[in-house]
Amino acid sequence: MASKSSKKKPKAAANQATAQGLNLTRAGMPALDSVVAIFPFVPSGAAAGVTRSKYRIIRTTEVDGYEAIATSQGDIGVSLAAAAPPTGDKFQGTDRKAAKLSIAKKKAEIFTDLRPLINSLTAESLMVHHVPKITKDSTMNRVDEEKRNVSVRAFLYAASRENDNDFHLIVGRDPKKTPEMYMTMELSGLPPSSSADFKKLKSARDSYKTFFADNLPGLSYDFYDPPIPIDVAGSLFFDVTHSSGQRPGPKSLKSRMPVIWEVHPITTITFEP
Amino acid sequence: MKKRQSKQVTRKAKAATKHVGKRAERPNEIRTGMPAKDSIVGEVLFKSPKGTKYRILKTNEVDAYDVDPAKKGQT
Repeated sequence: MASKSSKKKPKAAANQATAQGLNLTRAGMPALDSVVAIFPFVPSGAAAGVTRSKYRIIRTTEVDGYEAIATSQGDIGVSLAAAAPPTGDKFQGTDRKAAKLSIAKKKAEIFTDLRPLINSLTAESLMVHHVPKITKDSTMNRVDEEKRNVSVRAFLYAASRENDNDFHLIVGRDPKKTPEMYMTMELSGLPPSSSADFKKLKSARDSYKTFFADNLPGLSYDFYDPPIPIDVAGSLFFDVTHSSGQRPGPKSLKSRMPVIWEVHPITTITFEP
Repeated sequence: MKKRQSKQVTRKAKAATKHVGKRAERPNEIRTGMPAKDSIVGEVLFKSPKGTKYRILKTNEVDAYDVDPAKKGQT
């Protein structure tokens, strides 16, 4: 007999998966935003007196890429070819512009691995219900939990360039470490040159552009082989825009991106330290 | 004895050539953090300013909320 709480689970599974104790960093987990239902499962047919293992079935929207229902890779290719790549460096977005274009006023916390950094972040469920509410408003600046600067030694696995002129970096742990995990870090498009943080943000962006020269990514993700070692620092940012619906990250990696927290903006990046 | 040595050298040389060839031609598809094979649309060899060689794998992957890349990142 199903309990009241288990009946409720499938309805809001995508947003409540973490609350239900899903270990999103465990190898082989689906992307959180693909989860539509979670229910317990005990295999049938056990011999009398034999205790069977209990499982949890995580029902998702994921299908094979070649299924008609899936987003057509061919169509994406056509759209990509038609879309003009962004030019210039000016920030062209709106959501939480005040936070994205400013640097927190705190001393940097140093991490030698991405995992403890991710573990140090406030739970998504608390941030979503934050008081005061975190909105997408362009004037919405950092809340207390975001007023942190961090510095971490990690690896750059993939990157893309958004139309708002942010470079979207997928940063992960040393490839030899398990469990693998990644988070988004962004090199912001630049604020007006009169901004107090303009110089710092431009310097970080220039480091990136200098390293890649004419190999900067376009609208879709470039992956780096091998992953590029980096020392990266910046301010923390909770991506409330994507706290419901589709979550950020390239399809191949996003199931191992347990948080929608970002380092945004990146304030320094050193390649091959 | 001489024959055995030359055979060994030949085998070693062959193995080395094979290894280098494999590395140059094929990335390790099962390495942590690699994109899905069917999303790769191009490949560029890239030498960093410090001289390290990388391979840039161009993919058609985008953030899922950017299914229409023309609207990508307008937030």
